[in-house]
Amino acid sequence: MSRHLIAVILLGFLSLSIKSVLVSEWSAHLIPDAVFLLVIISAKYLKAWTGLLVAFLLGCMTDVFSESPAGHHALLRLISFYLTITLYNQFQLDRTVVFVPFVFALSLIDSIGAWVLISLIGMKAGLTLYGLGGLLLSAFVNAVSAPILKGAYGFLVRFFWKGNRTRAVDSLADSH
Amino acid sequence: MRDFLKRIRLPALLIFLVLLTVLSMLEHNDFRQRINTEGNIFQRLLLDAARPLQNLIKVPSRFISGAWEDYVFLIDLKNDNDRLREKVLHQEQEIFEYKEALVSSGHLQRIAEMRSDFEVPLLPAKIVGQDVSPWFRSVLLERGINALVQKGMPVVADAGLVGIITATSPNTSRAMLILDRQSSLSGIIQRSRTRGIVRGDGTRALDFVLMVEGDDVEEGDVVLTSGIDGIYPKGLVIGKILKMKRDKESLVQIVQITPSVDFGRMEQVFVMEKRGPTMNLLYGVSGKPKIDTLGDQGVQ
Repeated sequence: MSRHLIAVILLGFLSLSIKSVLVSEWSAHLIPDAVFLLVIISAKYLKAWTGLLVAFLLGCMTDVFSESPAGHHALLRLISFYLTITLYNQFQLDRTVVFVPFVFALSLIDSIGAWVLISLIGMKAGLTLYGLGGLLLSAFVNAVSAPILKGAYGFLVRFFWKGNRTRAVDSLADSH
Repeated sequence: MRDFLKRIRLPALLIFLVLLTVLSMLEHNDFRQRINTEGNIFQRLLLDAARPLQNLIKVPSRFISGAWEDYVFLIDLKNDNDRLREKVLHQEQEIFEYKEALVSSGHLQRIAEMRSDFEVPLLPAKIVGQDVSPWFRSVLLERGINALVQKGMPVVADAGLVGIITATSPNTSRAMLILDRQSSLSGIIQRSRTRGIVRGDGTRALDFVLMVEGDDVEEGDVVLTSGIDGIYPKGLVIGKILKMKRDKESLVQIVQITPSVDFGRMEQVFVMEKRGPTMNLLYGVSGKPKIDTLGDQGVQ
């Protein structure tokens, strides 16, 4: 499990490094938020408490790569992870046809949550119609790329851990 | 009891982490607080570890986007355009220097004083990455504490003002762009000497807030830093007035500025190795660069 955890953290770090470079060349809205997707997808493979820690750490890492106040992305990633493990079985998120709209909706919630948080702590965060269009585009890009990333993640898990996985969604159900 | 502990373990961890993030955000929400706090080891390690990786990724990324631009948009046309743009930039800079010298005073002594204000050592720094969040605008630079970069130092490009250093690690630093919504500085119109506040609005343009409705502003006017905020030195080009935003109900007049720096194409910037008085007040004297290290090497 610890190898899996380190692998997810390293993948997140790699994604952030790649994104920070790609943003200079292409529009930010056209690049999928790989860390956000990693947090959602890992819910299927990590234990709930490990997943929470991973979400927190990946969020903190995102804050370092951004001008955002420390903790901003960490809180958003925690909420995304918790929502995913809570709704995973209920909505049968294993099915791609449900997973894609779920990612779209969660991505929008994440973006609007980011805006609300920035405003709540007294920072300036203007949300124009153009900005809203950008958020919708980002959510769409995330939703479209989610099944691809999910497939790749699943392949890596099967390849390296031979299907030995503990589902956060199951452990959450056990705790209730 | 064991079952109970097992059951509350997850919500307890969640509540603990949420509280941690909220407290951290409240601690760092203010720009001055953020800039005054030393970066932790986690931040320094990450920024430094990312640098070689970003440099590695940058090569194929630039190659692909460069190839796209060169071959899809005709090689000759682009090269000619680049050459002419560079020429115009140099000529604009020369004209600006003459204008600024004339408008400022007309007295040679005062012009000399102004020039000495500009003569700040500039440290070239390549941009290795940009902000990963769509809500903030910053860039990651390839120079850090080891190159004497400190928080609060202004960052400029050949075309004008870029922003300010907000985080440092031994080999990397992060600069908040003037486009960021949290950025605010004092500006002055070169022609009419009208003062106002230049604010980032998160897009590719800037807002110039004038305190008095009806101030002498015309489209195309050049806006410079006034220097009275104590953060940026006086006379750096910010941009040109693009259009007026008339709001009859407002007591202040807001005009839109096009930044002189093309932030999308920016590859290299210069860190001014001198902080403004406001930044020195924030940091105290401890942050003063140690320039005598070269002297020590010379003695050996």
